[in-house]
Amino acid sequence: MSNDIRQIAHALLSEGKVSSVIGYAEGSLKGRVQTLIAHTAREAEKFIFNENCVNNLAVYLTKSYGLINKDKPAAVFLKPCDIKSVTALIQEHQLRREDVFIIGLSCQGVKNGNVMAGKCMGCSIHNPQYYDAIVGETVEEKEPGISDPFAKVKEIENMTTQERWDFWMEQFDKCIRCYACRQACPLCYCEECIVDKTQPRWIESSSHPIGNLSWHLIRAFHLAGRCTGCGECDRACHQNIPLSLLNMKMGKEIFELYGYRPGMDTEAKPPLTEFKMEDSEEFIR
Amino acid sequence: MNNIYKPYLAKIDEIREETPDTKTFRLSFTDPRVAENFSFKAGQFGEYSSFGEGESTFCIASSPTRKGYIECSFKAVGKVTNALKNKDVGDIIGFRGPYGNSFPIEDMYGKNIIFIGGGIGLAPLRSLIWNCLDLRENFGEVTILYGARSVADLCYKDELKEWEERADVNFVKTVDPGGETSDWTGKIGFVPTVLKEIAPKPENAVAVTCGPPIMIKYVLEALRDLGFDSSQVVTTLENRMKCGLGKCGRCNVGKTYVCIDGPVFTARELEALPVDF
Amino acid sequence: MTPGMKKYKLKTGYTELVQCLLQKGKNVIAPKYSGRTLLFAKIDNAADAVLPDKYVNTVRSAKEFMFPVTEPIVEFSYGNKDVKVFDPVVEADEKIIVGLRPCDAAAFTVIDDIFNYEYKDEFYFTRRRNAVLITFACETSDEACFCTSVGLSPESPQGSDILFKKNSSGTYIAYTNSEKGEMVIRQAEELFEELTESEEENNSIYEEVSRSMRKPLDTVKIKEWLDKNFESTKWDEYASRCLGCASCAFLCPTCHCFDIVDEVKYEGGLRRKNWDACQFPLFTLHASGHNPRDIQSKRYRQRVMHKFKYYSDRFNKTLCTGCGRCVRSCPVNLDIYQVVSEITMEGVENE
Repeated sequence: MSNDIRQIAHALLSEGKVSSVIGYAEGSLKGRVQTLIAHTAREAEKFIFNENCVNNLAVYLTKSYGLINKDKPAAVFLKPCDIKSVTALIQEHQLRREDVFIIGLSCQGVKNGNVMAGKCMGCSIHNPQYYDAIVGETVEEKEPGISDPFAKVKEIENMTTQERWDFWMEQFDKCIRCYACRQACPLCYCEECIVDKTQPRWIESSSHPIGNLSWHLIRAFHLAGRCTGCGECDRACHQNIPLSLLNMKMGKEIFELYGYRPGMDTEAKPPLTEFKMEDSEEFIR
Repeated sequence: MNNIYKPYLAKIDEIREETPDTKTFRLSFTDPRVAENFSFKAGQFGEYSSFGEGESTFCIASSPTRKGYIECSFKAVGKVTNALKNKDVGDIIGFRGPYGNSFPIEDMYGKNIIFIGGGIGLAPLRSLIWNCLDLRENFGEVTILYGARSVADLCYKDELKEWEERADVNFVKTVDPGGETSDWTGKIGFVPTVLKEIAPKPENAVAVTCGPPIMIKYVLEALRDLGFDSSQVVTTLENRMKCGLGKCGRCNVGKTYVCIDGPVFTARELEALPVDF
Repeated sequence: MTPGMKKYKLKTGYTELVQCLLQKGKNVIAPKYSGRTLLFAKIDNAADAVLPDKYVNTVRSAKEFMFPVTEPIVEFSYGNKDVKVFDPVVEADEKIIVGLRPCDAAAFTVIDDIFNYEYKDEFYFTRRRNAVLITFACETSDEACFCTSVGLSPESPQGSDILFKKNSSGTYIAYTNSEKGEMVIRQAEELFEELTESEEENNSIYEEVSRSMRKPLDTVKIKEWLDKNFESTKWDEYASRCLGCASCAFLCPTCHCFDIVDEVKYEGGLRRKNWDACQFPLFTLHASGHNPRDIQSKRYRQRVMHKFKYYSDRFNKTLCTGCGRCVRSCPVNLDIYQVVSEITMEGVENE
């Protein structure tokens, strides 16, 4: 498969069809891969794809990396789940479809360290939904490894209020406010994050219970109905705070209220950005 | 414990509105022991706090020859400066300092001094200008070239008048084209252009400049064209700072800490620094 | 070994040592699991302290026990015209930090210089004086470790009050390196006996760990390259994939940059010193809107330059102890060892 990947990257670059190709290269540690942003065909030989390619490269399609809005599109290798992030970016007008050349990768699941990545357990899309080119054989769609994608969320929901509070406060206590969760997230593209605003300061920047709680809850709210579950926040968090549980909880609420799953349709309007007469009002009591 | 982060308390004795968004505070320390022992040199800076909002870095704008108070001038642009802007006479703010090096005033004795300032960049020069004027006999000719975007943007208007009227100061004021008023008597043109026009001589002279980065850039070029050696040109850098104590890690230009090794540098020293400011 | 260092044999295991210190009423900090995350934490139960041969290193370094993630540096109260400022109480009760690795103990000797430079930061030094550092030499390393590249080794005594090493029969030998270390031995005297001349101390395991690590870097060559390559396309190349998170800086035992912020409640508040990082754009943003390090390549350059050039220009020390945390934690595997070894291979450019 790595051969096909190099060939397509080489062709796109040498034919001048794209401004850059964003993909994976061999990492410096076992089980890790590095991002490679190739601008010349010569660099294409370093591209790889294997079970360690857990990273979601859609993050490089946000404006701050300066790889889009060129005269030619940027090509990027994307797993089916990563394409959801692109969909969300297109929905939110952060990216035009024509600015990205999607090289879709069929995927049977990837590893995070020695084990299958958490996001792969509940995955039900193994082939790219849409693409400009595709690499690898179509793989058989299979049922998710776990039957209920919200099972973990329900576990937390079943706790008592006090238990839930204790659980999260213990988790947030580990946060040192490095913002790796935000930086790794393809949908945290705000030019100025609310946590950095000082006039007024909405969220205390200090790593203490109030600051940490505010930061994680507000980030979760900002991703409600937007997070596609790529799990990069979890992976980036070296303190192992299960951040995607918060995002999943918000996702579950949005699904129950509006029947909406993020990142599935470039034409769909995220429910929190529009109003419909039939919108549920159950939460107003 | 000797707490290097603890500010002195200072009372605002006087507030002057320099421009619609720039104010000058005259401050006196509330602790008489601090007031008595405090000393500084022209060019040094401090961390001024509005308690509850934080600290902001500006130079001390008054002269060390004027005892019993310090002054600072600031533009309201951020959280702290906007909070300071809303303070009244009698309010208490915090001050940490003085920090950094200073203008090499003793090396300037016997020389002709040319001050070139732009906008609020006059503040650090003002400290040195009054220091020189208070010790006038130690210096040769004193020239002050000061410009701002418009007449309304000129700081220290009363003092400009005083300098203009003094026989022992050669004072030139200018505003950018379009910034003049009908009764404007000064020049119209950018500071570097006017500098070339008045063409100060480099012999036995020191030029001291401060202003917006773009002005400094062209002033340095103009001085070079006028024959000034980069060792004869002194300027003061302003980088973002938090601690002022050489620790917090943000004001460095290469290996140089602006808060410890600066803020005053000769143009020659600047040439040796990487372009990281 | 440092002259004056004394040697003692520990008659028991690690847990008994921790237990003994707890029994003597000591405040013991040691690696302990919080969920899956191994962190230095206060130990109440000796069994919670993870055995030193069961981990490579903690996720976070012990830096936070001298330089906390967040700490009050000034307290203030205000009415309208009446402001008062106070020194906050420094939570610096005596503590014994056990289970450190040589890289983390050495890190303190590196950052002591900056906290003592021109102005002495007593918040840092009060804690530093009140802490005893008890290090255990590394019996294993992982692929990210590179302490041998920066003048250290799995058994370096730098910065440790006591360094424990196992002899070939598996007994811990304590090498004291300071009076503070001696005191701990005296306090736990029932566990120790003086090492007799004839007793075996050597253990080849530490040299084996050294050899298994990544090839040592040439820091002199790295600095030579950095001296001449402030402008280089390499910076864009490396930084192009950097996410600009600050995992590297926050986990680093020698990164020491901080922010100062005010927090207010009712009629008073606190001024805090918070960890900050040069990888954030706001770190250097001027009020005017100008930013000297406006793009990630300049920020990444700052990080590498600070570690391998600026700090050694000023203090003659490398601002890195090779602990490998930045390498392990980087979400995109931007590996500083790889970066600086690559630039050395390239030789000295732009002469």
